[in-house]
Amino acid sequence: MLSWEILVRERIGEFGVPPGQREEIVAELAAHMEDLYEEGRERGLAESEAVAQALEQVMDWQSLARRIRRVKRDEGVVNARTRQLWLPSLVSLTLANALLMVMAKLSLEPRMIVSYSMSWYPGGALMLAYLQWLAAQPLTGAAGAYLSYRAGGDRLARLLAGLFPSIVMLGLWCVLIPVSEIVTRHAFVMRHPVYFAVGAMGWVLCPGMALLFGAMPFVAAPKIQES
Amino acid sequence: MRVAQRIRSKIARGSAELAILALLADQSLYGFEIARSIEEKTEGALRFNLASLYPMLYALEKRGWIKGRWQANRAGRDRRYYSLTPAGKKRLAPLRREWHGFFRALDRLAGVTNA
Repeated sequence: MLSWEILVRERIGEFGVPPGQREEIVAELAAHMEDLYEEGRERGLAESEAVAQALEQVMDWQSLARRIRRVKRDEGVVNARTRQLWLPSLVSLTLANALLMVMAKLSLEPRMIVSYSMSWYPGGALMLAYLQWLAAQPLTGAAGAYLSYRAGGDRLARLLAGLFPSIVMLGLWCVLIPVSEIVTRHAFVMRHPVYFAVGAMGWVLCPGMALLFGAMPFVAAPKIQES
Repeated sequence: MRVAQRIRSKIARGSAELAILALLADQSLYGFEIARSIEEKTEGALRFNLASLYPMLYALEKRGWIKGRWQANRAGRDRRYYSLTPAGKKRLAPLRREWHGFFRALDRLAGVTNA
């Protein structure tokens, strides 16, 4: 006797969804083919004709597998908010930190420190690392906003994904540092508010503007409709 | 040409969504029954084959508008029955209005009902 499940499983192949989900899909498609087959038999078709009629329902199994995978994969692994906001945000944050590490490593080589320390500005090596990092931030903002745009994120999601590194830094400067000041009873920030403001400008405001600059083309673009 | 294709595809997709949601508003049905019911009720104007039906059903399920549940049919065979969720019921009313407005606009433009 013909096993519709085996037939469907062979034709649809491995299509990149978790095994349990795949088996359920195979069972459902096989059940549909079985119903088509039986309908054909009830109408007086020969067995081979009824089988052929059922198989005619799918001209391209690979295309069907791709379409189902597209729906099921997104459902199984990540939801829309994760794709449109959290993953792009994580990418932009990681990229911003990775760039900072690379720039710091390149600029704070002993020979660079020595060379800059002897120049007009003693903190030159550090400043060089910072400026290089700042110059790269439009790329970070663009990456976050683009990934959100590609995932069908709305304008707010794209903006947040692009600005995420600055949002995290804002949290550090506005919450973590003041709270740690209070907890450790170390009143440096309270006594030197100008230093705090300059720090916030250098690590939140300026990078935020650079991120926004990079993100803008993707924030302004019309939303991609989800398929 | 591509724009026209995209519009046709969107219309086809939208009408298929409406057809499935409207059908499931009255009863729970499994895939084969959904395809047959739509074909019968539209006198063959709308047809689903297996390849077009299931990606659509899974997409509607993903959006939370329908929900599938395995249960035995009248012949005692396990079939995945789909029913409308509260979110699907909520979606159906505006979808009906949108299509109603679309047909009225098309009628005004092209005199479809007098053709």
